[in-house]
Amino acid sequence: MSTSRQLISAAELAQVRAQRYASRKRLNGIALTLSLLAMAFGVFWLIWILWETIRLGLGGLSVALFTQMTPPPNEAGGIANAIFGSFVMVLLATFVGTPIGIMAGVYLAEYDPRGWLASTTRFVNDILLSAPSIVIGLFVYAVVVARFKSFSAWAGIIALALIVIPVVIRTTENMLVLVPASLREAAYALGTPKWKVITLVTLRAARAGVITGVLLAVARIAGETAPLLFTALNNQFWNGDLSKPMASLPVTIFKFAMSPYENWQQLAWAGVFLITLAVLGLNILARVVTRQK
Amino acid sequence: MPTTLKTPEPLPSKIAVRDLNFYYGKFHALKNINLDIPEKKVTAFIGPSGCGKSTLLRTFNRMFELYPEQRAQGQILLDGENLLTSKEDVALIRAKVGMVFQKPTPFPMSIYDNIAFGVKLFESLNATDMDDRVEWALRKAALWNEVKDKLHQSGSGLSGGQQQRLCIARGIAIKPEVLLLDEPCSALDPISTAKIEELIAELKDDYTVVIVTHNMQQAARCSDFTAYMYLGDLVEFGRTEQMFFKPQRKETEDYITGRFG
Amino acid sequence: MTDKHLSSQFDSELNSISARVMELGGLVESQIRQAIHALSHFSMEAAEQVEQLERRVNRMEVEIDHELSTVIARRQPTARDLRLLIAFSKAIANLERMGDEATRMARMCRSIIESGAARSLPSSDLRVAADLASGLLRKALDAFARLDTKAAVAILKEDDLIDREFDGFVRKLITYMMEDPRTISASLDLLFLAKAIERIGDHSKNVAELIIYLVEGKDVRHTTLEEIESALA
Repeated sequence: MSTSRQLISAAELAQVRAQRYASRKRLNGIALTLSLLAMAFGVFWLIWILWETIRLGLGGLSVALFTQMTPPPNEAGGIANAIFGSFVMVLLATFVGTPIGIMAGVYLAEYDPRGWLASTTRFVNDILLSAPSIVIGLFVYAVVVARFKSFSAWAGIIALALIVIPVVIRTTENMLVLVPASLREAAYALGTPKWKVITLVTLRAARAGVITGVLLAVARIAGETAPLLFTALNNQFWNGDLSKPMASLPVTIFKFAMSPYENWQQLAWAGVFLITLAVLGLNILARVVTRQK
Repeated sequence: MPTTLKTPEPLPSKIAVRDLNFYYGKFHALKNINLDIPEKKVTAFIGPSGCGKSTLLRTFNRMFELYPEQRAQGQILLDGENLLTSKEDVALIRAKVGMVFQKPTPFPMSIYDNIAFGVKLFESLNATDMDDRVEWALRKAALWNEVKDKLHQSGSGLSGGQQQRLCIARGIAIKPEVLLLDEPCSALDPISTAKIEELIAELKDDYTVVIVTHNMQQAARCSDFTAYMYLGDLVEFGRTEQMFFKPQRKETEDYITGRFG
Repeated sequence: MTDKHLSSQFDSELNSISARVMELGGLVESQIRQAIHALSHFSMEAAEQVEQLERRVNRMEVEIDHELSTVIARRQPTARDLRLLIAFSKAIANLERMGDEATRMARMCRSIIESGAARSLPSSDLRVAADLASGLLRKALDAFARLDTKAAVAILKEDDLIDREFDGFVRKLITYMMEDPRTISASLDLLFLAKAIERIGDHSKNVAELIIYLVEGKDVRHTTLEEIESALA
């Protein structure tokens, strides 16, 4: 194909274009096929996991699951204490971690974002964010459990909160930074004091994103096992006392799944099914919230 | 080059700028500005990009204080009192000197709450009085008839021109003395622009209006006085008819007739 | 007319109008010269030439005015450009009137020639005034092209001269008419001729006032010469 600047006739030009188009189309087709194959590969495994979870877990679903305590091996029972324990610890960890996370996120985004304190905080936060949760669990063990010489739900809550906080800080800061400066300036121009600008305007504008961040943090800790292993431990029986060890779904699943007892394994799968359902539900809720606002 | 240009006629001056210098870090953005903004008239600032007109406007309500590397030296006298060194809380100054921005920015709340927002900061009105104030502000901004049935819907559901009028209503609701408009129509279509220009003509009965615009014809249509700025200097200030018929400075004439951009 | 706009289209539009105005000025100038020739040589041909040019002049006035309105509509001119376009519009009105006067002169000449009686009358005096008027138009057009306000003031002074010549001529004519009543009809023709010449001078004066308006932004119509000179000082 000549690249000289001669005047080519319209017909020749059309032919050149058609050839180029055909080869681009071929390349496009190849790339598209490869992408589809890659996607199918990923989706395949996801579907298989979900399928197995449903298949193995559905069988264990019954009223007893929700009403009876974890049984000894080879006896009938449920995982009510584990469900309750997970629910309580996740809820309280969220209550503790979210305000701290949001306030820190507000500081990072609105007050002196370029100061040394902010940069340090961000740096430490990023480390915490990617810290293995077992490290956090061990830390809480050393500081709380060893100190008070007992495993407790409180320790579990602290450990989970330490996972919630970095996530909420990160998402809150990111969402606040996305709020356009013009909105803040408009509020200031009316004579609004700084704290009101933040609470009534900026946070309000970012609320969808911030809520999503919290929901995602909750989804994450709902399935965390390692931090609970050394802190809340586990409990075969019903326990409403937060200063004592408390059962939780992930730890229970861990214990039951590895055992050789069939009924325990069945209960473990049922627990897996429940957690998957909960996490799925939270993610969908987060999507819905974002789309609405 | 410092120029002293008071109001060409003995009109009462609402804002008197004396020897104002402004810096973005080391950059000298406004050079020795001396200017009198006449009361209850519309004054327009025109000039090419980067001439300092928005910068000057934003000194009048101390918006630059939001950004630590920006600082102002000199005097800006609002009714005789220097804004820059006043002991008064800056929020109270901003209640007297309101601003509407280029991009319409309704708050993420209902139309009613948008208007009530500013009012609640400074006054405690009961529900009926607040309703009245909201209606008054929306009528003044020529928006009442279009939104009276949807006051509790979100402000972001309005069209661009309506949102901008909402922002103007929000600014008026707190009853300021001066209204600063920073290129209020540049994001709008010609019909919305025309409606807002109509509005500006009515607003000057009650408020001193200062408008920054990069559209010279808009300055010619809307304003009583025009200030031409270039690279941080105030080149000429005078009655709009005079500026656009026979300006005193060649630089002004060159800009106005499009002999340079 | 001096430095360029950002829009070269606008510049070329202004230049085109400017050229046409000068062209119109030239046409009117030749009308006047032909009218003077007709007067001094009692030439029928010259008189007819003048009337032929008249149609062209009228057509040009309309066309230029149309071009002016188009530019104003499209360009929203301000300051200098605005004054220029207004000055052009009024200048061509004055030029067209001058053309009308020249045509009137030509017709008068015709009727004088046909009656044959005028040879004894002081038409040569008229010649002097006519040349002055024609020269004044040339000076006005020059000053307009050069935007020369000094020359404009000089033109205003010269028009005074023409006015005084006219007064003198009228007195002479009155003398003739009183001496010999048979010359009254021809004298009246000459009087109207003289009036036409005086009006041509006045129109040149108007063009000079437009130059001052264009350059200084001051409307000096209906003001005395002293006021004008002090305003320009």
